[in-house]
Amino acid sequence: MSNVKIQGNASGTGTLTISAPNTNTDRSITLPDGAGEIVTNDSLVTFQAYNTSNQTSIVDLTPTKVAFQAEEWDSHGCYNTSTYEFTPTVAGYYSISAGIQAGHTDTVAFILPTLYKNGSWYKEGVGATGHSNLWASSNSTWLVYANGSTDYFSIYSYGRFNNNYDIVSQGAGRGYFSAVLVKKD
Amino acid sequence: MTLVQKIISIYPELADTNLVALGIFLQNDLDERGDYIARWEHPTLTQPTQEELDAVTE
Repeated sequence: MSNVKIQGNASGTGTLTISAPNTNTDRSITLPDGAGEIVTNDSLVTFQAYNTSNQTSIVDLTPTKVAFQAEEWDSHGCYNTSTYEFTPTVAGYYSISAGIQAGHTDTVAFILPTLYKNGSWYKEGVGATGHSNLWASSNSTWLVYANGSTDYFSIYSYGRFNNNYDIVSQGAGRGYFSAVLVKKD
Repeated sequence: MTLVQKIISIYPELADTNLVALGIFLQNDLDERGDYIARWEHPTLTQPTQEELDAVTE
């Protein structure tokens, strides 16, 4: 018969309390047959930000940081609404997503959201073409690793236009930048 | 003129190309620096100097 052993930590002074929920049903929980930490809600870093105004006059062929100025949520305060950078404080693997739409007068145009890591081009997203009456819009998702201390991420827009273009806003529904921890290191 | 326009003025063969695919990474971080050349890895064209860029006028 295998056993369950609960072991204290000689260095700590806190008391860990395991509590039962308010229930009248008998249940059992089987621990995973593997080493590692049990991940709690407290370590599940997640945020979502969006742009509140149009970002105007972005230059053709020049990857430009996208300003997502407001947060819908930010579980660990990892997103900075001034620098538009996400710096996760828990090391692990993150799913990062972004959606942007370009406003333009060009008959045909192309936009490519790109994930930057530590200030440099890191992973391209999904490019999209658009027309003057149906603007270029693209959503992309990346799976990336972050060290939980110094690594930071931001979204850049790379566009191919004949003229300058705008990144347009429509509340939280059009331009967004989000992330969630999917596997702790 | 924008930085990309100056670069294309110096190298007209870069017009109507995908600069990133050619190893030319411009960048704008929304700070006081504005547009700048982050990386230049074009196999044959050398990165223009600041003096060459400044010399390009409309």
